[in-house]
Amino acid sequence: MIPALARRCLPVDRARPARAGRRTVADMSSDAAADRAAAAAAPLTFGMARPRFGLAALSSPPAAAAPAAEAATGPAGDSVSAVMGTDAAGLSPDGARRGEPGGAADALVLADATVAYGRTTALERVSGRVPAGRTVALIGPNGAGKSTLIKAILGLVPVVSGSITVLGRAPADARRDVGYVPQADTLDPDFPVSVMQVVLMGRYRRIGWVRGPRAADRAAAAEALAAVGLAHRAKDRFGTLSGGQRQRVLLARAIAARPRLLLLDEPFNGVDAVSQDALLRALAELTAQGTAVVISTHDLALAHLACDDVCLLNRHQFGFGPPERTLTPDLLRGAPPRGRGGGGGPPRGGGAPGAPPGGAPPRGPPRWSWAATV
Amino acid sequence: MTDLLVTPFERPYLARALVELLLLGGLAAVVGVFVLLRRLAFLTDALTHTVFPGVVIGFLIGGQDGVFPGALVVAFVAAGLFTLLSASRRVGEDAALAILLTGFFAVGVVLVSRRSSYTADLTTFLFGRVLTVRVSDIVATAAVAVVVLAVLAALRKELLLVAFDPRAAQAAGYRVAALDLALNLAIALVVVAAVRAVGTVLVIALIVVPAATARLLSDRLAVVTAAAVGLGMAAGWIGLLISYHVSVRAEVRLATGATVVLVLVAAYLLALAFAGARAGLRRRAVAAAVGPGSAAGQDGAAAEAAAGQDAGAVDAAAALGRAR
Repeated sequence: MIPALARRCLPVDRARPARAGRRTVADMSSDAAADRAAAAAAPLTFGMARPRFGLAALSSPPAAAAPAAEAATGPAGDSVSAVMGTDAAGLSPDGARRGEPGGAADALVLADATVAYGRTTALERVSGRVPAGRTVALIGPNGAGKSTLIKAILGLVPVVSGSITVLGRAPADARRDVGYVPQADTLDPDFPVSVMQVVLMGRYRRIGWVRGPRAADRAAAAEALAAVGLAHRAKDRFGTLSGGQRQRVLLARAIAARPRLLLLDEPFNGVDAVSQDALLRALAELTAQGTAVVISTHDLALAHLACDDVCLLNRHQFGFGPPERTLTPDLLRGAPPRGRGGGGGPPRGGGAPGAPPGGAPPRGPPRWSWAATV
Repeated sequence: MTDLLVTPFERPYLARALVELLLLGGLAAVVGVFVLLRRLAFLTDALTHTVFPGVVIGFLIGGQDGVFPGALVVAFVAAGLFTLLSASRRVGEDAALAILLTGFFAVGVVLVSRRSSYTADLTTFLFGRVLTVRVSDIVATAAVAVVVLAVLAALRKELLLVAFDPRAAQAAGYRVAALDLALNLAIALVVVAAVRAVGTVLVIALIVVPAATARLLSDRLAVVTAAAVGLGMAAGWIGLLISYHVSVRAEVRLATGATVVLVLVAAYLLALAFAGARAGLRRRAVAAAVGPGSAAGQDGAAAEAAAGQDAGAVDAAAALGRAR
């Protein structure tokens, strides 16, 4: 189990050498570390429906992994406070600690964003930032607003208060640099297109109107297809591929567009281990090149494994930060944050730094049990 | 052979009819491929019926020359309305479409019924009269063909993307409703062009059947398009010949437009049988490869083969569903 997991981790972690101390191969393959991990994260395994990912084994021991600075800045609230303007330099303590440039490098900034369909509020007061080259998981039960948030980032659903900034622009103005990967099983398997034709669709925006794809576009598409390990299936009909392979083709389509921010809607649903591995590898390659990635998923283990930060959603945000601080039993059970919409607040003790002063009286979010939804 | 296939067209009215049917067959088939991909068969059907009152009003105002502009105006209005309807994606969209369809159609029938030559006029508008096609009609059809094919060629990538994955198209910043409107207008133009030759009712067959048939025979879009165009044109030619020969030799009058449609449907049924047989053979080959080694032996293979045939039938039913 452990060597297999270590291998799975490899491409992901190699992409982020700066983050020593968390989930390194050495850590993972050391029995002692694994034991500590199991001990530390044991409570998290409740309700985990995918034992092959054994979350306990994946979690690094929080005490060992979290640098002292983390404790000083307080859990989970730091990035929110930066977004909400308390950090004048635009440099969150989080970013500074990791030695990454803040401000300009942000691919996505959510600032207290509320999203609504007409009069129905779908998602309230979400905050967070995704710097270039980083990966964020959107976690929540069905109907939590994960897809809605993705649509809002694409500028397809209006932001009624707060703001969403994509690559320094309004969402609708940034679409050309934003890739979107839908769930493969929403597409018609009978549709008469080849795999290559699907990947070429990612180039349509660059090709422009009227003209057909040129050699450079075909080369980019072939390269993207190779990146997901499906170069040999280029001529096959899309529908003849397995679900996981179709998902990889859709990722290749997005990669072919060379996005700077990539949004994936439940990419691991019903995907076999081989395809999952290939997806993670391709995503790691992308982030290494500086693309920011947002993944909506049910899979806590994958979020833990492949993502730098986790955004917990259920109609509103109740956590944002590194997995080891957000994927805690308290937060997953939906423990009430301090103050309504003070997303990212600590599960208990101390006021959330990002909570608006004089906000609405404390009100717990709708409680939900992770065990019932995974 | 030449006598049978070519000589009849030495008569000018048959030659004109042939040119018109070839133009329409090819044009409608190309539009039909996009209709098939975007699953717009029902909407296309509604559009054909909706054009009917336009034809009648145009005829009442301007005689034969008023038919084309009358149909054109109403078709464009209907295409716009349908795009709005389908963009809103409300519950009961089908019902709204059906109401529009029958409402428009009834207006046309009421208008025609006020004329003394009610039955003859109605038949002409509904089923066309390709043998009376004039050169000016052919020119109009050719002009429509140029416009529609140019639009479809220019938007082929985007229309393909919208048909395959509308959400991704939207995410990439394309205006899906605008692209749908372009396609609906193209369909409307083809319906208008076909009014004289095959009438407003049968044109749906020219659009939907060739593409559906070609789709049964191939998975490759380029092949599907080429086959659909070939089939659409061939059906026009063969249908015209059949109706001519039967009329001349057996003295049984066959309506040309309907004969063309029957040829198309026959081709579809043949393709269906072919696709079913191919799927059955494939399953049988798989069963034969798997069968001998298994303990179930012959029974297993037979069951697999039967299942294969069932699957073929299911495939065919699915294809039929796509066609509708």
